[in-house]
Amino acid sequence: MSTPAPARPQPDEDSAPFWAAAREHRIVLQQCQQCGEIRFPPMPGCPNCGSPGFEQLESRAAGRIYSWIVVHRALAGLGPDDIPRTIATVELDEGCRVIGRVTGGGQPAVDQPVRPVFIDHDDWTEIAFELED
Amino acid sequence: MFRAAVAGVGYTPFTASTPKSVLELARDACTEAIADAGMDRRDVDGMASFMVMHDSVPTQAVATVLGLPQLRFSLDLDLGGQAPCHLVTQAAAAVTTGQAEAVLVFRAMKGRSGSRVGGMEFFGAGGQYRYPVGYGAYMMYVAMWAQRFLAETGQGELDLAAVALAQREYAMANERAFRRKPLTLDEYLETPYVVDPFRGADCTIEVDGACAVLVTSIERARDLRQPPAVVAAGGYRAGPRPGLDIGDHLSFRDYTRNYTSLLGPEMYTRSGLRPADVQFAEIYDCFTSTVLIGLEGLGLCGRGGSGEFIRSGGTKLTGALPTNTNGGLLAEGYLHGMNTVAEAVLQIQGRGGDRQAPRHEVGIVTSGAQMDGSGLILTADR
Repeated sequence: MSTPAPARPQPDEDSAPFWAAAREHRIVLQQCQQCGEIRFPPMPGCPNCGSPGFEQLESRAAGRIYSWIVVHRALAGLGPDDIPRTIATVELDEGCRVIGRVTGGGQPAVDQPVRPVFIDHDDWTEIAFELED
Repeated sequence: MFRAAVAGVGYTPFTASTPKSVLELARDACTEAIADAGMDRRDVDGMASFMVMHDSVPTQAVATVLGLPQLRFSLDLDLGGQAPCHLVTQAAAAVTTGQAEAVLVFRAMKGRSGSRVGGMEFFGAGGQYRYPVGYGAYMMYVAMWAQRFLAETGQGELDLAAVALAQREYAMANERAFRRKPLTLDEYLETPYVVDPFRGADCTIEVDGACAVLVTSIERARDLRQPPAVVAAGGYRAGPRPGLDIGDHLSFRDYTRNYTSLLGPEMYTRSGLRPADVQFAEIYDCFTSTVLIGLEGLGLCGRGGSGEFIRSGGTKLTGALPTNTNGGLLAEGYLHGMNTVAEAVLQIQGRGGDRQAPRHEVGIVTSGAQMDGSGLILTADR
């Protein structure tokens, strides 16, 4: 009785700018105007100080592996061709974290540097990561 | 301080598939808990339960089919495994403050043949970043924490294996357990990964079933059939950034410490007990890693020392801290931690049979794996 995975993200009021920027192969983040905290996911208040509002900030799009997994079984909407699939939590240099596939091969390690790869699908752009040497 | 105790427990069998409805499962477990305590359905005036993505039945339905003449306390939570100790805490508070006399806390689900939580897409704003890239199963989230935890604390697959092996040994002595086949280290290591770092034996086993406990006042419990399992402390805890939904941990900072590291010290303060006083533990274990994180978070093991503690026999009946004595959710079955609470009650009451901890006057229980969760310290009536 599990529901099929959505073919694409469903942007909402808070996330629409992020997905629009991804389409242009940019990563935009929110920065609190009060405390300076840079946050992801997009949200209507600062998780550090609670202030509303933010400034849009373009990420330098570099980061490190905070953690990672390799999916070996076709779970949760994945098909046999989708595995094995390496998925990483990436800590961007700005201090917040994003999630994405690790493409281009290689075994990730904690704290390993990565660079983003923008993968254009029909109607959305996925942000994946490649391992730096 | 609470003046409340758990007076009885009830279970249905844990099966791969049942012809019964979820409502009947709930009724059966609640009926058994009432009978186990030696109470009458007419004495019950409170109910509490939880469900994920509408996979269970509301308390009002169960009150109806139990034929309860009244409800003075009713609580339905939209939560997963964070809920059981939280609900028992709320039931204890309701009983202590006179809102209700006797509260049933239950979890009922067709977790194997019906709605399986493992692959559910949770409502909330965080899902749009996870599901389109295939990050869509709960075990992936716990695996993501586990990988970082193992790396930071210098532990590895042998430490995860230690949890699976120790708990399987307990399950072999537990007739209720779903997984009772012996498990060796070689067998563990030969099993393929499901989501690295987790193999099959690192994962809970989903079942159909129900489990219930009955909470009443200490005074009332003293007159009932079973010895009271006194609620010495209880609570729910999250730190900052609990996330946009129950699967969202992107803004949570430290995957190596979950809510237990915040809740443990508070429960010790409230109960006047110390980690050294705890005689057995029932740690929430949807996956092996959460036992390691829980033992360390509660101060029952040093940072990075939990795997070695288990490997050296520390969590066996002969060890310093018997832990997950029913085989845990890994082996008894995934009732989302309701059975974890019930096992602690049986241990306090001395009803553990072949798996009874020799010292069982103070036990700690947890519910939940990641950002938030809840816990209890149960004691004998002292």
